[in-house]
Amino acid sequence: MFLADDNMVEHRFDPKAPGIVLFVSVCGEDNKRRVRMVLDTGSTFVLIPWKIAQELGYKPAVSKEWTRITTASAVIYAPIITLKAVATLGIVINNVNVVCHNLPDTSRVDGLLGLSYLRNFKVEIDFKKGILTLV
Amino acid sequence: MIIMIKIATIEELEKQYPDEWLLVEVLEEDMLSNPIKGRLVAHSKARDEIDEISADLKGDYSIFFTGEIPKKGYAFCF
Repeated sequence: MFLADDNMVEHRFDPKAPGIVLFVSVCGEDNKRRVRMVLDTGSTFVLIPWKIAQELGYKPAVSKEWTRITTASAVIYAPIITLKAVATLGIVINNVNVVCHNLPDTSRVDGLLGLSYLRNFKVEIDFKKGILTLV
Repeated sequence: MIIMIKIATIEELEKQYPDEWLLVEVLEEDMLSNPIKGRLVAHSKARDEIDEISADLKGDYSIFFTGEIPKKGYAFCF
């Protein structure tokens, strides 16, 4: 993993791995958690577990905004909250909308890094070389 | 679940506690904000036990699994 220049970040990953897993920082007003997420360009939102949202000081149960999320196996009604910041690979994006939903324990990750974060970048994924680039 | 206070690199902790969930207070990060050193607060095979402790903590903490992701024999499809 390295910073290629001021405007570009590269992350090397195993192209044969089941997914691209990154450490992602999720931040509330006065609290921060760094968890592992799967990069998911098929996910409209960043997704975090309910408990992490609550630890950050948010109350997803009383969120004014909810959405139906279509997963591979079901349609789920889930709250949307706006995190103070989300960061990965050293790049901080403020005021990111995230959906609160718990992934199965077998995933062993704490969320999905979806489009509500990724759409701030030009994202390049080279599966032949195993390089993720955010520009 | 074991609650403890131990400072080590993330790499050392991953080797020492394989296939467990760790709760670590982050003390150092690399240039890309990845945690590289921290104070181990708790480790457990059960994620729920880690959540019970982290629920009351304020600050910069990392929660992660040290083993294979996803669980062996499973694939991601969300």
